[in-house]
Amino acid sequence: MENYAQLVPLIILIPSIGAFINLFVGARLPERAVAIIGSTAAILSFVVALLLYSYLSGGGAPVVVNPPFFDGWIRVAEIDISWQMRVDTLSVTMMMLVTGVGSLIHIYSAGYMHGDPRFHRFFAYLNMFFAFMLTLVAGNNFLMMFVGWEGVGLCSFLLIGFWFDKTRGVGWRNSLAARKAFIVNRVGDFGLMTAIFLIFWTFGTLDFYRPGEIANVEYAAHHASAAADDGHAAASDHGESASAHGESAVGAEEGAHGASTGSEVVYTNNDHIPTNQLGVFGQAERFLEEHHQVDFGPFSLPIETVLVLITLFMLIGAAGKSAQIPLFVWLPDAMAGPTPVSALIHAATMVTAGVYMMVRSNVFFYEADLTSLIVTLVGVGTALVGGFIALGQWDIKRVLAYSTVSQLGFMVAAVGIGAYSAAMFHLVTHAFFKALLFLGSGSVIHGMEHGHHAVSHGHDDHHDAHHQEEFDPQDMRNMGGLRHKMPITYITYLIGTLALAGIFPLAGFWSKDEILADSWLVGLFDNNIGGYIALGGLLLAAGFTAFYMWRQVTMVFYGSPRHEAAEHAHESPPTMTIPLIALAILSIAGGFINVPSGVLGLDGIFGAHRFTDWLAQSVVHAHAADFQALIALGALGLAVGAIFLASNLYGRDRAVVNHRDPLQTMATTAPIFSFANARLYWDEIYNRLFERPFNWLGKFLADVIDWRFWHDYVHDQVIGKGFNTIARLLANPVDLGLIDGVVNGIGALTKWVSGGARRIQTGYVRTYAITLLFGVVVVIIVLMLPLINNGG
Amino acid sequence: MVQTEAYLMLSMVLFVLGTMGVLLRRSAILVFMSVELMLNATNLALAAFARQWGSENGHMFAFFIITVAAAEVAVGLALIVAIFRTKRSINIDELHQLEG
Amino acid sequence: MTELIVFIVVGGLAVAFATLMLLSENAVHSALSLIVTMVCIAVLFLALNAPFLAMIQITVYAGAIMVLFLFVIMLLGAERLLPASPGEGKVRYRWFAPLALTLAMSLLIAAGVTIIQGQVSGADALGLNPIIRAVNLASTTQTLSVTANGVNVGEALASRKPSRFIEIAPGNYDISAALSDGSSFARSAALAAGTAYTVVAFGDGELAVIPEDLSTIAAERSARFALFNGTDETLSLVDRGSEFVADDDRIVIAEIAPGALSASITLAEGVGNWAVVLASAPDTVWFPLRDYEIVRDRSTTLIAVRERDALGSRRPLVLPLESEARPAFGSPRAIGYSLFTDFLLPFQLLAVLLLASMVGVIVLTHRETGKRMPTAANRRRVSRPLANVIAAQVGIESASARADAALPEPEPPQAVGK
Repeated sequence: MENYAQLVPLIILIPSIGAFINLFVGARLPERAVAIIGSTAAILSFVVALLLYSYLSGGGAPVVVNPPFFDGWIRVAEIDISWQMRVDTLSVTMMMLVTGVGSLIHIYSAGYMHGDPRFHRFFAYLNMFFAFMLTLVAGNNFLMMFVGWEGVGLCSFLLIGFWFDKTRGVGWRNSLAARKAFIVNRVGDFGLMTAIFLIFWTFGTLDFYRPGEIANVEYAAHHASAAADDGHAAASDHGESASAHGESAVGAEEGAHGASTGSEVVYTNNDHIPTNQLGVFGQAERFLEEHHQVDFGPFSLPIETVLVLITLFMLIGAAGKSAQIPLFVWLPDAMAGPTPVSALIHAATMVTAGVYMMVRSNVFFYEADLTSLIVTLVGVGTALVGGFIALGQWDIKRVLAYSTVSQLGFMVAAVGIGAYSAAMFHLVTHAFFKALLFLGSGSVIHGMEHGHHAVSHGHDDHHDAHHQEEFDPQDMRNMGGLRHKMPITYITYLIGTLALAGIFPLAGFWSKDEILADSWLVGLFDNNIGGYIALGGLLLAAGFTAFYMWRQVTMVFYGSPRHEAAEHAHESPPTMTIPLIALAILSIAGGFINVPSGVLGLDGIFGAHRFTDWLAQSVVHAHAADFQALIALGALGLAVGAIFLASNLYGRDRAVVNHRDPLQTMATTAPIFSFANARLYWDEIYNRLFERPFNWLGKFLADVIDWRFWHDYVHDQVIGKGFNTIARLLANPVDLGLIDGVVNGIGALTKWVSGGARRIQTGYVRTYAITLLFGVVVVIIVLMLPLINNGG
Repeated sequence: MVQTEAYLMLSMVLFVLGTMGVLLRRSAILVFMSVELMLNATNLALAAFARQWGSENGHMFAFFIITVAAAEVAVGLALIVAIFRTKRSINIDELHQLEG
Repeated sequence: MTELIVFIVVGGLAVAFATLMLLSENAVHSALSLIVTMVCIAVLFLALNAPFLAMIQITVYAGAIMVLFLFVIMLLGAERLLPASPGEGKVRYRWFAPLALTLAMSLLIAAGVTIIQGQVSGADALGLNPIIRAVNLASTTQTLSVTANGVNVGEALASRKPSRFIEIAPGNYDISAALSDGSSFARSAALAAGTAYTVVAFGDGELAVIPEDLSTIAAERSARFALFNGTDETLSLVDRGSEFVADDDRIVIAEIAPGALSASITLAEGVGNWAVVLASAPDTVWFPLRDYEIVRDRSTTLIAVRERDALGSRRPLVLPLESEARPAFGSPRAIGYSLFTDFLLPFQLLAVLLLASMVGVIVLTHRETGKRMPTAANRRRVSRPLANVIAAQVGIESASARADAALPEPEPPQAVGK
């Protein structure tokens, strides 16, 4: 049990090995072997995550693990960045989510991708995504997180463009969608990198927490005293501490000396660690107490300002990865990838990386009020915009994509109002039901395609190609009545829809309610305007959610088939339906991990605020909101009303006639619908705002600056002609006149001198000999002179 | 005991005779023999000095000079033979191809 | 006086025959005169105590080299090769002979003045520096360091191991010795040129400076012995015969007083069965030297002391200090010794030089048998004669052996002015 934490390197290693095997030898293996290798790697990772969970839930302390062979990663002068992994409740939550949902999606993919020529590559990419995503969540420093961040971006690019050779969906090419996602993400990465640079400059390290450091001092102190009191109800205590949040030093005094359990001193705070030995968050708290000034060379800023800057840049990064305004435009297009990819990467896991990062950095965000407000606005705005656009989409996956954008907005807004545990809670439940919905939609598309296949084979084969071009299996206008054809898909999809819409007692109800209750409490007690904005905006967005989801269910499953493909659709194989069932169960039960206190006695069954309490170990500012019956009932009523409205509008048979939405037919709602259908002209605005000026600037730089000015003028005129002139000058007077004259003169001089000197060489031996003798005589006489003087 | 100076003077006289031979005779063989005479004179002086200083180093040098002279004579005579083969003469006055 | 006569006669002969060599028109006569000169110089070498040089002067010079000269003269037939006409050089350098004579005379005069003014004989002749070494007989457990006027003679000497001889200027020295326990003792001694000395530390801080006779041992196959008595009793060295019994005692060195050094005696090589005995009790062996090997040309000083051992008691000890007797000055033995010690490297270089000259002679006189003809393999191959190529181009089908006949006839040169 104690050593399970040391297994954490395996969680990255196993998918890496799977990816390598599938990438290099997968092409020669049968499809079944590839699927088994990939799924086994995923499931083994899940097992490791479960072991880590058992370690932590068994009372294990958060640890920092140094993997073997990675002792020290980047060591340059004072920079020392280790390849360390952190096992704490937050990272393990993410690991379990990623590996659990991911394993189901691996199994699903084995059925969904059956027969694809690049089957092995798909599984290799999925495993690679696993490795990078787990690096992202397991890393103990921002740089490792960044490595994972970029790695999942790469996998996302590869998987969006997986069918780069096909044209699908509404008519864009998949490779263009992949490029769009990649480029938009780079904008966010700029923000994240700037944030990382600022963090490094400010704190001199990138580690979240150093080994031995305690993340949540208050929690640790509480935990120790709870352990001492032996059975004191931790949950209710925590409720008290939550209402007293903001005074984090409360428990520090008592715990200063550490509670000694057994022989070893167990520290419950970090007072014994010098500031520069702490991780970034510990240092930030110390700096805030000291009102530290951060030195930037020519000027210095107070730590509060620096934190605002850091968090703003982090927000840019999160906006890129988690598809927030203004960078959300890539996510709907990313649905061009295979549906399991949409489910895993673009709904359940990767897009939540931004939320994970912000929750991980909750210390920063908690202290940066300005940023928190901006985050709230961005989140609420995104939730509304995503929800609104989803109202007007025809494509089954596109609706889900905008729904994902909207739900990510919920999470980000929750971070903005300081409800970090609520954000994580919604992240988890959303992963369940959104993965379920995507996989369900994949099942529907799969069924539609097979139905279409059957239909076109029943007809003349010559029209095959023609048919395929016109038929879009993802267009909901072609569906209808699938309830009977695909019963399992229908039931699980219905569960997912109700969970997303927030119907009691499914998972979405609890998580959404927690966010709404938190925003209400924040607005009420902290006098925070962001809370009211969040409450209002998110309630409206929740209404949108229920409406567009029921619209979708109605269009897909109810009524009668609107296309012959839908008539011939049939249920998907068990490899696809079993994950659906599993996820459906999770969507039903997932909310009970964090039931608020005092609701129908449910807390007596499941325990209150279990998830929040679990997270509090690693999330300093996690706190649980009490159940707000009024808010919950209001949201539930809104959702039920929206469902009723949608079923009224779309439930009538033949409501969707000639590919026209009922809203389009009504004069009052037609402009609204077309506005939503055109996605608020968001891409077009970007086109005007950025693309055209960019193209114009590029053209200007190329034509005018580079070609006309630089090439024609500078190169040809100035440099070329000048060079010619100088060269001519150097060649004629300088080289031919001066240098050649000197050289020839030296030659002539040498010739003249040697002409005279050669006469010395007579060639007669005796002349040489006598010269030698002459020299000898002279030398002897010179040597003799002092002797003569002495003798004289 | 005869004074060292006497030996040195004798050695000097022989040396100068050898020098004049080198300078004045035109036969290459005789020039060579004069060189040998000069070397002999030097040996005599070395032996005299060795006795004077009671050191055997003088004898060693004389020994080395005799050995080198043997080598030199061998090479020199080989040169003379080679020259004679091509020029049919050993008159050093006729050998001035190196004239500048 | 004899030497002077020899010098005058032989020297005069040498000069006379050198002059004859110079003036003789016949090369053979010149060579013969040079031989006489060389033999005279060999005799002078003998007079100069250089028998080895005299030997090789006659064998190598007068023998080998001059035979080579004569051989070449005869081979070339060069007795009278010089042409009757003086030649171009003679005409051009008319001034040469007077100048040469003048210079030669100046050289002679200058050198003569130098020799006379230099006063070579005035210097102290035959001065060899004394050499000195040290031996530790004072303690078996401690080491000894000896200095003479601060010059290090021996440092950290273990018991009974003599140091190497070092050369030192003659004169008076304060010799001091120090044991490693710090006790030191000193005495002064005059060191004369040409003598070897051994500093012996023995007893309780006594220091003796023993002169050693290293001169050439005149008797053949013999060795030289002397006995130094470092005890406080009178000692004798007796020969006990091969049976090593007291009956046959024959006194070799008799009754040396304490602190005295015996006169040296010369013994033929062989084996000695000796004993050192007290003069007061000649039958009791004080220290046996049984089966002692007498090595020829070796000079040995037997040093008798009472040595203090580790326990502090004193035991009799006779230590033979052996050294090579010096070979006679200028003898082949001396030259050989020098050659194989100090001059080994020059000797090796000389051998290389001789080898090189041997190769040089072979290269120079190698008679070439005419220009080497290129072999068939080396000859440049032409795939087709040029004529064939041209013939092919002008349209002749077969390039026959007479293809050049098909070439167009060269135009006869136009006669100019026709």
